Amino acid sequence: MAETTAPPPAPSRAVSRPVSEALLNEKWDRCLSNLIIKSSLGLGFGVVFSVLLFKRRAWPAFVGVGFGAGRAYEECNYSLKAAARDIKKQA
Amino acid sequence: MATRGPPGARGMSNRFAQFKLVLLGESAVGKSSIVLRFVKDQFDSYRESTIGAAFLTQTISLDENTTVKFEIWDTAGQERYKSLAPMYYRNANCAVVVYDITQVTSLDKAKSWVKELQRQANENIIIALAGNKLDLVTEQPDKRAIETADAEAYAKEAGLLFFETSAKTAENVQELFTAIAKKLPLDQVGPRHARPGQRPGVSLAPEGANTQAGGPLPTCQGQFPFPQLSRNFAELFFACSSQPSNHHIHPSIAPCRPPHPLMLRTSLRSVRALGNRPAAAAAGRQWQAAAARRAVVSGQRFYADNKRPDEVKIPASETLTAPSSPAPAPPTVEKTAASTIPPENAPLTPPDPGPAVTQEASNKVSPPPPPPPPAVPRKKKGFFRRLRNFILTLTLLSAVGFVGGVWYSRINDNFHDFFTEYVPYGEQAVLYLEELDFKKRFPNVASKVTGRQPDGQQVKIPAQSGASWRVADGTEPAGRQSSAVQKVAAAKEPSKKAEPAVVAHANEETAELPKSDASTADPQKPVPVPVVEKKKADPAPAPVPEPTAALAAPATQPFKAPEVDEPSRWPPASPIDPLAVPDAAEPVVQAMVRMLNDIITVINHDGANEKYGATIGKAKGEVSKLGQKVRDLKAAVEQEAAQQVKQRVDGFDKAANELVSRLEAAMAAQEQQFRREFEAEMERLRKSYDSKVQLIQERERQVAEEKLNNRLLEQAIQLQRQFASDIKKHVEEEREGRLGKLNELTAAVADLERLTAGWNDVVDANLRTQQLHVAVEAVRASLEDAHHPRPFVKELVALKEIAAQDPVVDAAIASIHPSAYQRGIPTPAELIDRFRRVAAEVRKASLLPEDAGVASHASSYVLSKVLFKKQGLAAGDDVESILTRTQTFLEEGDLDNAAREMNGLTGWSKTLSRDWLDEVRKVLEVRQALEVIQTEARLESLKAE
Repeated sequence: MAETTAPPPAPSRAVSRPVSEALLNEKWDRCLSNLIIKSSLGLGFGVVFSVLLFKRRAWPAFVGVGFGAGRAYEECNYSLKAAARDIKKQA
Repeated sequence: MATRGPPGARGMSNRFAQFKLVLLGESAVGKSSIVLRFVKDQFDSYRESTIGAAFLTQTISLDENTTVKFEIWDTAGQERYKSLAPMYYRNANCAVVVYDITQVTSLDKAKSWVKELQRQANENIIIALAGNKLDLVTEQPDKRAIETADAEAYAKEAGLLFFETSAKTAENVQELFTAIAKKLPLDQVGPRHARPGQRPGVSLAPEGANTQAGGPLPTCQGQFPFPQLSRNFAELFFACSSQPSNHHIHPSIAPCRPPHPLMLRTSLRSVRALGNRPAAAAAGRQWQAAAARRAVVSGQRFYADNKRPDEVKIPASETLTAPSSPAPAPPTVEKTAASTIPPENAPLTPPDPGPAVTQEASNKVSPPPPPPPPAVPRKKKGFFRRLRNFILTLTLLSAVGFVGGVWYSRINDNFHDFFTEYVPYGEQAVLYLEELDFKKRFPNVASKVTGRQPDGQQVKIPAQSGASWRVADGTEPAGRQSSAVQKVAAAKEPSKKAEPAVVAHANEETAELPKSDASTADPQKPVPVPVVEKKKADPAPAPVPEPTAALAAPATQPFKAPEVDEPSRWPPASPIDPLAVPDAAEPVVQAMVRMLNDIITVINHDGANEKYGATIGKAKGEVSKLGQKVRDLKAAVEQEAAQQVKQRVDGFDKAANELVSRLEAAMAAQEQQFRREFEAEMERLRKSYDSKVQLIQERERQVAEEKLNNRLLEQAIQLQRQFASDIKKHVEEEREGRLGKLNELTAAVADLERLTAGWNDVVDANLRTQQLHVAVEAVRASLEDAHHPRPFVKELVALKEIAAQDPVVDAAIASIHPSAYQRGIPTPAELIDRFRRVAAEVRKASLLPEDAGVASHASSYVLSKVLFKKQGLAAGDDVESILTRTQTFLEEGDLDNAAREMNGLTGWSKTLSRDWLDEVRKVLEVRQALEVIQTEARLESLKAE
């Protein structure tokens, strides 16, 4: 994950809209943040479940992270495909 | 029923009458519609044609006391139902003959109906003529085919009521029937019959119900189904059966025939009222029940009249059937027959022998009562006895028949003819009877005639003098007056000499029978004839001594005659006969004869015949001689005259012949002359005509030649004209060519002038282009000088002003994106720097598939790190090659090609490089615009030069 978050110096020039060469990078940024949030949420739920229901076993926490990461992946995948579809539509 | 008083108790004021009304007329004139309008106040536009007839009733009240009920028989008008019509109009009180005022034929038909009604229907029938379909005519007046005036005139002439009606609009329909009702003989109905009316069976229903139905049941009306038959039979039958209760029955019968004196004992009024509606009509309907009820009522009517209710049953029981009542018949038959038949032929029946004969007749005519008299009282065995009986009966019957025939032949003329012609001895018997009758009627005549007959030796005279009036009437009258003269002329043949005695007789008769007209006239006339004849035959007559006694009468009697005309023929029969000269045409002789005759008459009258007989005879001879002489003289004169006439005629003939021959000769001569003249004239005419024809031919030829010459001349003139026009055309063409060249020269001169004038403009334009060049250079300089983007709006504005509405410059400036001159355009260095960054990103996404997800991106990013780098203008369509070529172009400074290469990218790569491409395009646009303006400016300057 760390490698992907190494974007080149953004040439944003006082323009609100990202320049075209930064479009993909931006998507990647969103995906990664999403991944972190969803994973941590999942982890949190997993920990809670683990503590409350599963006698502090580790696997509920992993399952929770997995759910979160899976959810994030799915959303990222969706956004990328949507973008690809837009591009195709524009072409 | 027995206690009923006069039914008029409540009807004194209320009158109610029923009448039978029948509608007649052609098919489809609207009879049924009129009835429907009248009875139900409806109208049906599409009414089917009536079949047979329809029956309806309608009651109208004329005033508050009078009510009239119409029994309406609406007959079918179609021809096939015509034979039924008499059934309906028989005994009708009133008839409405309808025609269609839009059809002429319908009126003709109506007229025929009226004629038929007047001939065959009830005598007192009231006929109304109704012209229907008035509504059609009011809508379209031209549809009318029968004028109102015509129909009205006809109606007036035939004595009909007349209305023009419309069943559709109800116009005049009610008026029609009201008028009929008013014209009907309501008065005869009378208050007495107020309720019973004319068909009491209907209106007296309650009373009829009270009386037992089996009471004095069916009267004659119910028994005869056929009106016509019933009429005859009823007459006979009641003649037989109604003796005891005559007046009880006859009212119902009375209508069938003229009222009989005996029957008039009941009120005449009731009879007349019934006359409108005879019993036979009701009988024709064959309604037993109604008939029965009517019987009851008719009975009642008489009780009301006579107050003898107990006698009602007798007629009814008697009338049931003819054969069932044989015994009591004969006596009544005799009497009634005697009394009933006379009215039919009263004047002819002889008074005395009547009873006997009529009895026989009635026996014969009315079959029902079997011959009562001899028949076979006792029966004995044996063939001969039976044979004798049979023959006896046969003889008796035939005798009775014969006698009856004789009797009836005296009554009926037709039968008389038949009887005398076909029945042996019929004629003799009838003649004998007639003679007998005559004698009985004129007993004195008969005695005179018959009494004298034996006395006279000559039988001829009775035949002429009219013992039988038939003979006398037939023979004499024609010859009576005129024959006297002729007989005198023809008297020379001494055919009838021995008449004197007869003459005397005849004269006696005439004296004695002055009253008997038929016979007396005749004997009187024949008298003179024999007298005259005798005069010529023997002037010394025997009769002188004989008729002494008879002298007085002839002297007085025949003296009327001489005044008539010929005195010579009219002197009275006397011992000295008067004189007659065969041709007493000469007045002198006539006067002499008349004088002599006067003397003879005087002598005869004085009875001095013997004294003057000889003298008179001589005088007669003289006179006759004189007559003879006169005749001779006349003959001689006539002969002479004839000769003279003949001579004259001959002379005339001769002269005429001569004249004729002369005339013929003259005519022949004239004819010849005429012919000659005619031929000469003909010749002359022919010659003149020939000369004329020649002249005409000559002239025609001249005219034709002249015509030809004219045509030639015309052709010559035309040719000349054509030649002239050709020459003219050539001259014109020539002139046109030279003048055209002159025009071209002047045009060229004008162009030159215009060119020289335009030079000023060229100089001006040159100046402007110079300025343009300067401005463009300024813009380009500002662009190239900058190290970073800088707006160049001012320069562009200046350029535009200088260009001064040059369309090319305007279009070039318009093609520059506004953001370009507002922000300025990046320099090539900047573009290259940015390209490097863009290229790095594009490379990362260079391996992405079309529908890339997270995994694709991740793998593309990873794999892009290990891709081989290319150099220079690498061939290939992949992203790496394109990028490399773009970089190369950029380094060479070829922005245009670089942008074209980058434009070839697709998908994510293109999206990523989009902003950079825009930048490049802006730069390119500005450069192009500037180049265009510069070229324009150069063009302008070139143009100016």
